[in-house]
Amino acid sequence: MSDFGALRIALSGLYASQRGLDVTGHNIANVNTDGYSRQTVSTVANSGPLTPALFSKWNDGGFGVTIQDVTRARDVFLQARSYLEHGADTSLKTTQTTLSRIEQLIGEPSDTGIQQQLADFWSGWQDVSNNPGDLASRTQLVQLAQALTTTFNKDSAELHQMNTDALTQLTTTIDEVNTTAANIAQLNGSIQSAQVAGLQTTDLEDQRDQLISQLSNDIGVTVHPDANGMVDVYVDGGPLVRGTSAQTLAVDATGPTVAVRWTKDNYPANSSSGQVGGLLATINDIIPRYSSGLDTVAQTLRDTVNNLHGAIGGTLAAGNQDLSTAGSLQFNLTVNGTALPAVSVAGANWSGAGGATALQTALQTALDTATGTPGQVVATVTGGNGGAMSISIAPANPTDQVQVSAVNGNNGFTTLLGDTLVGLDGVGGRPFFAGTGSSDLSVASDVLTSTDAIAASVASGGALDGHGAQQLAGLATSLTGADTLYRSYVVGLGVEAQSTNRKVSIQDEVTSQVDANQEAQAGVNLDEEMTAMLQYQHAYEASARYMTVVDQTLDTLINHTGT
Amino acid sequence: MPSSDFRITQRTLGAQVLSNLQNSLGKLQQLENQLSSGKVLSKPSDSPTAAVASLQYRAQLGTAQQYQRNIDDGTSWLGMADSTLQSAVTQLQRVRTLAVNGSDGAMGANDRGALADEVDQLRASLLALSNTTFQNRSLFGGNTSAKTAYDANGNYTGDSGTVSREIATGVYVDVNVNGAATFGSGATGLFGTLQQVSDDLRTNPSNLGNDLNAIDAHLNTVLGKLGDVGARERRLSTAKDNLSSDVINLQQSLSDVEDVDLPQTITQLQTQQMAYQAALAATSRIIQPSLVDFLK
Repeated sequence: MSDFGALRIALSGLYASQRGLDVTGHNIANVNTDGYSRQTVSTVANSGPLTPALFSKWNDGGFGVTIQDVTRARDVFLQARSYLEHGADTSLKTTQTTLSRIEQLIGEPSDTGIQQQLADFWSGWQDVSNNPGDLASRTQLVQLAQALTTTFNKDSAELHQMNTDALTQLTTTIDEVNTTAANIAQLNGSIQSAQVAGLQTTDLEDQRDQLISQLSNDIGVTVHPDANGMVDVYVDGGPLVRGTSAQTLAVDATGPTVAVRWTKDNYPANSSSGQVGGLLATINDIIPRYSSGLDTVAQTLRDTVNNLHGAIGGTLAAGNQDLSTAGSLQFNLTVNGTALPAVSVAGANWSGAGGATALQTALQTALDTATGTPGQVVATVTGGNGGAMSISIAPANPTDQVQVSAVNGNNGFTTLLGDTLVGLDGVGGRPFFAGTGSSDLSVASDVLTSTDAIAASVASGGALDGHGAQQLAGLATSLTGADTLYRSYVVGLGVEAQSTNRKVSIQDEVTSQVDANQEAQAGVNLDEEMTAMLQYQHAYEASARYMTVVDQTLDTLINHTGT
Repeated sequence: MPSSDFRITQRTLGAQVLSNLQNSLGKLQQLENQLSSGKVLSKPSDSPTAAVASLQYRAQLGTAQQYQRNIDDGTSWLGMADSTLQSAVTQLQRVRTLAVNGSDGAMGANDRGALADEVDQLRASLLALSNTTFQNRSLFGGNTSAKTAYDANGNYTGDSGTVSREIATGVYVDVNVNGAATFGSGATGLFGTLQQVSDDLRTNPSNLGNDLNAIDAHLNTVLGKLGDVGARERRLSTAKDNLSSDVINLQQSLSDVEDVDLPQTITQLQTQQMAYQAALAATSRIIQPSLVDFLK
């Protein structure tokens, strides 16, 4: 070693301490930076050349220190786990938000929800039953029914709006994913060139990790290391970022279900993780499920009420079979609003031994003659043979509306169609509700036009009979009715929301565990940095002191020797 | 929560403290919500079973209250029939007395004529009673839309329809009294008989014995109906008592499921407030010191 070699040793010590102080300062400065990983300087002692050469060998010891690297304290496995858990967490939270919004819009249990309105509606029928001739109670029933249908319409529209909102959110998220992916590819490029040039890339890597973390919240990703410090990012098994090139995703809302697809080949990339996973579940599963659940309740309400309110039929006791002495059975028929010639069946045509079969044939012939379209309105007669016969008249196509009314004071009508519910005007066969589902459920136009169309009476019971309304009010306690169905709809929603809430709190716990683990690895501890700072400070002072001593030694050698 | 062998950093501490404070504040907010709304159950996921119970109670409460109204309405129908039939009985008994008086052979034709005039008056009065209207419809006319049940000749013009009220699920009680079954119709009916009594008083007193039998038969029928009405009124009144206690029970159950237990919730709130304040105080101590404070 030359005489000045000691100065070099001192200098390398100064450099190392200086660098250590710099890194400590950097760490302290970034103590609150999101995604920052604490850095440490790794140094290595300089030993002499180890390869012996001819006539030349290194006899001296080491000469100082070299800074080998500045490394990030980050565990890649924990990192991968963090991406996974954050993706699952965001997905669950998105689902949770959706369910809690549905809960808010259903608004049960309350004094204004559908359950209460159903109860009020059935009460309205009881009031009509108590006062069949009273305009006030009929008008009130129509009002209650309208309030109920409006609530169904409003809930359905809000669910639809939620779906639209979720789709907008999905599109925005996918845009964000595309931008982030492009940024990651760009950072990959920068890291590659920096590493090739032997430069430090720790801060760039932190930035990239931060972006990947954001991506895992958005769509849920898996990460694989690539060459030269680059990483590849995969979504649903397909590469979103590979090296320096990024693919793009797009939302496809054209099919029956909404999908996320790769722009390059239109292949689906339906992640079940991250916000995208949660939103896809919201759009394709949760909202359609609760929409159709509400539809089923509305349809059940419509059908159970209409089946009673609009059915045409009756029973004929065996003893009354022979009505030939009372003349023919006669009633007026209206199909889809068009009044047809009166239907008439002569008693002689069906009384006696022929019974049910003969009456059905005679009735069908008469109906076919009246409508002019054979089979449009179908008569069914069962029973007979000494027992009661039951009769029903219904359109072959359910969209056709068939109504019957008595020919003034016709005894045959009340006997033949005794179970038919009729309004104050004596007409039966009109529906009470119209519409196909919860979105367009409404009170039928006949009832809206005139409250007389509310069928509160049984045809055989007399003008002010209230038994029809009583039958309808009885639907309130039906085990297969709208009320029961609605309650199971609400409890289903409650159970799903509750279990999602639990899943979210468990997932939150897991995610914060992983975050804490990661923070424990990578976070900056100020006490630690202060200690390191003192160490580097003292090391710097010592190196400087050593340099002074070497300087003095050389001074002695140069200036005070041999004079 | 990281275990103790973890490296602890300032950010870990901060995050932990923040999340604990958030939890504590969240619980506080939930309790305050419960107290201010008075409800523990505000959405189905709070407790799905309680939510469905609450919906069921609401539906049951709705029908029970409606049944009460039905019973009130039915009771007024029966009450009206009751008082009308009572008057009819009194007047029929008067007719009977007049008929008995008239059958006394010592009575002269003029005196009997006066009795016949009174019988005519009573007949008109009974006819008016049988045509009593209630809630703008005929009380004894079944489901007829006409306002009267009898024409001037005493023929029944109503129908055989029944008026019933639902007083419990699937339980119907008839609340009307059929005119034809009470007063009869035509010549053999009450009004035919009364006409006969009047005519006999004037022209054929010897037949009054038969008339008395007919009047007794009618009186028995009306009294029978009166007893029937009384029985039905009692039935409604019992049902109403039952319903009243049902309604109270249902309201209690609904309140048990939905409403806040005040003393318990207030105690919880105070405990939670203390916990929150303690957490805040602890935070101010934990966050402060680091080695920086002690290096010179």
